Amino acid sequence: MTRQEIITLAQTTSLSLEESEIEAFTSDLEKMIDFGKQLEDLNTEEVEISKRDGTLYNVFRKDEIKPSMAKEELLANAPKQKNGFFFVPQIVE
Amino acid sequence: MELVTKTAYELRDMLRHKEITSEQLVEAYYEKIESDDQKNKGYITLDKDNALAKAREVDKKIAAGETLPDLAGIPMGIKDNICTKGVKTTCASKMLENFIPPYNATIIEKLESQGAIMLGKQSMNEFAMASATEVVPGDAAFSIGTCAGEATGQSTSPHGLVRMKASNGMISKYGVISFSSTLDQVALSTKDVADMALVLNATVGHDEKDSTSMPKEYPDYTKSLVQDIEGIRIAMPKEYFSEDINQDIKQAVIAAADQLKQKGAIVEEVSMPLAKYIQPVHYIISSGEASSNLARLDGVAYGHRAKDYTDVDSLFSKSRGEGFDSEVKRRMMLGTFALSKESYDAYYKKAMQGAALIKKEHQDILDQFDIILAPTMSMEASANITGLPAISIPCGIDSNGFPIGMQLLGKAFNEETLLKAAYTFEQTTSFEVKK
Repeated sequence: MTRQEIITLAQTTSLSLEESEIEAFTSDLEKMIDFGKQLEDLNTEEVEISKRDGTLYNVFRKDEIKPSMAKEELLANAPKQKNGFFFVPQIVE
Repeated sequence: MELVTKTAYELRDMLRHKEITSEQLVEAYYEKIESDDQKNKGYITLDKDNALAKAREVDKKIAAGETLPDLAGIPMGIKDNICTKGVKTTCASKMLENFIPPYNATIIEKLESQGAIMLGKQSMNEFAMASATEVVPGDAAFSIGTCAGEATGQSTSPHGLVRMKASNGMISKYGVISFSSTLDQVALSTKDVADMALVLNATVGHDEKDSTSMPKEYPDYTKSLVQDIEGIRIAMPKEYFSEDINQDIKQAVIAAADQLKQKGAIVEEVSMPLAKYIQPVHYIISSGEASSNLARLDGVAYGHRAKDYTDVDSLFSKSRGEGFDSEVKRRMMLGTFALSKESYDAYYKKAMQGAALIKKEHQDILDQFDIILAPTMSMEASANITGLPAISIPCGIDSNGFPIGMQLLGKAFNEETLLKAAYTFEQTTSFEVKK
């Protein structure tokens, strides 16, 4: 993988990397590629992906208004807040 | 008296007979923690004032003659990736270093409603991803943690304790901070098998808040604490006993299997040709899902936020770049690679298909046998990939004096057989575990 491809991968993962981390990642990726190669000879033709046992079903409740978590509790861990909202840089022009 | 060496069962009886108080017990644990922590750093956060207050409440109830649940007044440690209302939950990461959950995980609600006393939040690898450094969790009568099957390189049954991962769906994961949704399991750690039955009783049950929770009723697991394994069929996969593995471990686990045979179990060698795929399957799935699950940590609503950013993209990338250490960043990047459009079929999808085949291979063997037995370090990830229950117990000491672990993996929702086999082995063996 080229340096630019690694940087693009980091951007996709929303990670800023140090220069040393970019260099180290090349060898890390070889490990993943090697794992992928190990699986190549595994015959998975028409095999469905692994699923959990049991039947998944929707959990419903009555359509009644119930108190939710208090706004103050939800904002308590906010790095930055304003007027009861999480404060972030402008997203939409 | 050395209260901190007692099992939960012993402590329960001592409390009920008023030989000790819960407050004394909690104080004894904190004394040990505070003296050990200089070298071990087993706890990230201690919650001493609350623990003592809760212990005194339990003591009042005992003094008033109330009959309390088995774990009432017993000190527990909670791994720091399980949400505890009002108590920092950091996942050992700068990303969450000041995060205080506004709610309890269901497992915490259950244990606290039964009177168990949380000593604090135990140390862990960042987001439970294995690294070169072994983390030793702090002392407690029992601990609640997680396991995603990461290879820790330990030859040991973790720190000489009994550890169990129940069948998928038995213990709620609501409030457990996810690493890999397919592989994550709640892991219970106790001093012996009898304590494991008590903790299992206290933690299993359907939870509507966890969509993977099974709507089942569960038995009283203390009834499995009997030495009766006559006719139980145990499979030993030859792939886990090859010449490549550490010979101390191999000999100890084989000797343990012989012991079970002498107690009436039928032990046979089997082959699991897909065993060699477990590591790559595990690594690819865990990396992909870590990348996806940790995407929620962006510095917006909670967690670390960088001081300098120019727009929302740099808010995300700088906050995450500063908040995670190299190992976590590495796994996330590898995970993004495995999930990317060009790689998805050959990596993540292939690994999930591999997981389905591995699961089938285990189930085919368990159609003929009751238990699969192997060294803990070899078979750690199998329970996570298959969703089957597994118990790890110490079965010997290596040449450095550290405990060797044997893992028993069983049929779905048949924890009773595992407990029976583990209890039988434990009651008929003894060795000194290095502290």
